[in-house]
Amino acid sequence: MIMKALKLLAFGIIMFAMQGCYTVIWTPDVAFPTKERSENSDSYYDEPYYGEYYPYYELPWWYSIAPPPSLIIPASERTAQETKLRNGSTPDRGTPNRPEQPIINVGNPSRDQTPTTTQTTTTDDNSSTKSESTTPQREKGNSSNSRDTRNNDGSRSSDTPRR
Amino acid sequence: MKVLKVFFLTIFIFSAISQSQTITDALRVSESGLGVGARALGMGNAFTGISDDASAMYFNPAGLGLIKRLEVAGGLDYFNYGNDATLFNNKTNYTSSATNFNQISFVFPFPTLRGSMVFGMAYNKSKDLTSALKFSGFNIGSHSMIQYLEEVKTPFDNQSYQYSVPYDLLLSNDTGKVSVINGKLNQSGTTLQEGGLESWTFSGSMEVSKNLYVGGSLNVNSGTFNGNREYFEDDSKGIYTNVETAPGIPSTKNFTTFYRNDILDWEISGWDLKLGTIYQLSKLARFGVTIQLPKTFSIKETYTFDAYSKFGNTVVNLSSDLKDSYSDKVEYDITTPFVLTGAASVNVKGLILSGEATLTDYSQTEFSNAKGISESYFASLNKDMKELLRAVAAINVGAEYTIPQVGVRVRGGFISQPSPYKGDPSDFGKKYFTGGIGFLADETFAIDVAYAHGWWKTYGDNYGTNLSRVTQDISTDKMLVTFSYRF
Repeated sequence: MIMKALKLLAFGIIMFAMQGCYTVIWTPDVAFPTKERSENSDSYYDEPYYGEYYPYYELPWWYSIAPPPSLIIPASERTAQETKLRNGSTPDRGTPNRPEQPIINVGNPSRDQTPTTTQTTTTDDNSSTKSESTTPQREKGNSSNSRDTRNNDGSRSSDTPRR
Repeated sequence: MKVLKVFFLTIFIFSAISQSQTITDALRVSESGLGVGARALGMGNAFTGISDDASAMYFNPAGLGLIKRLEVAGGLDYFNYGNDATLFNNKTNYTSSATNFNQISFVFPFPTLRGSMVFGMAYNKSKDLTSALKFSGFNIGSHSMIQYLEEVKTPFDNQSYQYSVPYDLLLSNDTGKVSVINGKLNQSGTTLQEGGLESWTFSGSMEVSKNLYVGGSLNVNSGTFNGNREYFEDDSKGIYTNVETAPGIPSTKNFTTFYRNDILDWEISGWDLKLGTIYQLSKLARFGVTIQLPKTFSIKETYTFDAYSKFGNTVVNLSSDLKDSYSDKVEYDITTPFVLTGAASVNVKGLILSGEATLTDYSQTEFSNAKGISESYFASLNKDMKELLRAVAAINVGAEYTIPQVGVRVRGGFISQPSPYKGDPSDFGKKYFTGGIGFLADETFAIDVAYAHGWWKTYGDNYGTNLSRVTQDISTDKMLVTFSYRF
């Protein structure tokens, strides 16, 4: 019975997730959510009236950590790579028959240093190499990603029968 | 045919002597306790429309979706139960207390690009079953527990009244009839109950539309209950000093005491599901609705009976075989009714006002799946519950004010839980005043303390109906401390 109920609960949650409801969960193949990249619901505990309780309730924990390295590959390029793999074409570098891996240089993850992600990918026609350097937007001032984020410091009755 | 007679004889004896299941047993698991979480309790448990900490798994699982940081929480509570009992105008006070873990929980919000998806798990001690009762009073009436037990008759084949406790304890004549003792005894007793209901809770919540959250909690319930009742009838006025309670047996002169001891042990298990939704209207208000689906508690009951009578310095005990025959082990289920809650909270410049109403139709409580008990007895008991119990609306209101400069919150609340019995006056309903205070350190570590004082009246009959009635003025005090850390 418990297993059945667990399955029902899991099924319900998965159905919600799969039907594309309002919530969009972060997955490793998309940029890590920051305050700028997220769409937040209304806050309830405004800072002027709740002071320290504002970050306690309103700032998501993932705003105050360094984003993990992620493979940010534009969809068009990914499709091209997949096509190339399917066609068995020889990649530019590396072992023959082995798909080319993106080269990822990741800065030291640190809360006071913005990591820089450089991606080098090869385009479909093998004629040009495209380099791309992205610096994720970090928050300034009071933002939760900055160093000075406040978060970083941290019967009836007795047993006698009634009738 | 003989086997059938023995069977019915056994049922007849056990139905009167054994601890038969009662409406009180059903209400023990049906009525809600004081819940979990000091912030909630401080606000009179009017928390369904707030539910933005780990206790949301208990109050409104949809509220989990409002949590944006990892949270680990734990709590400890102290519960004291006081009972001023009156029997025949004689008042006796008795108290009992217990200290328990109240809650250990973990909440994990998934990183989202939009909306919210949060999971949590918790151990919650949702209800404390500690209680106490002590009474003593001289009954001038011509009735007693001894005579009541004589009613365990065995009329088959005109076999008279043997096979009863009074017969076994030399308090009746050869036929089992209690012919000498005729009331006018001092009746006293003590009852201590302990145990609690707890659950492992697995919850999830998701924002399905902007500011609209739905969630569910699966509770795997367990618990224990132990009730120990000692009951005495004493010939305090020497009325039976010179008579033989078992005529023809001289040693039964000088009757002084009849004693019985009933020990009830429960092992409780089961599961249930609670569904909830909460909507946040900008910064101004939240509205919550929850549906508690019926809980099915499987009860493994062990009932142990013992008794003795005393004549001067001579004690007559039950033999171990007789003790075993009067004791039993049974199993059955208790299913509680649907519970519907509607709630709202309003947020104005640091002040949160919250209220909720909870509808419970106790007449839908049911006993079922009897093992070792006659189904017809449960059918009769279920019918009694339909006739005697009613639907009630419990009210919870609370307020919280945050002093932002110092990170302190102060709270107050009130709880009203009407009696589930039809026709009971309002003072038989449970009422609680609550208060609390909360501190926040380093924006991560919160300590909340709550206190609740409750009071209500009730009564219980030692035997029969209103023959030996103990009226009780009950007061409870609960102190709850919750620690929570948000990463």
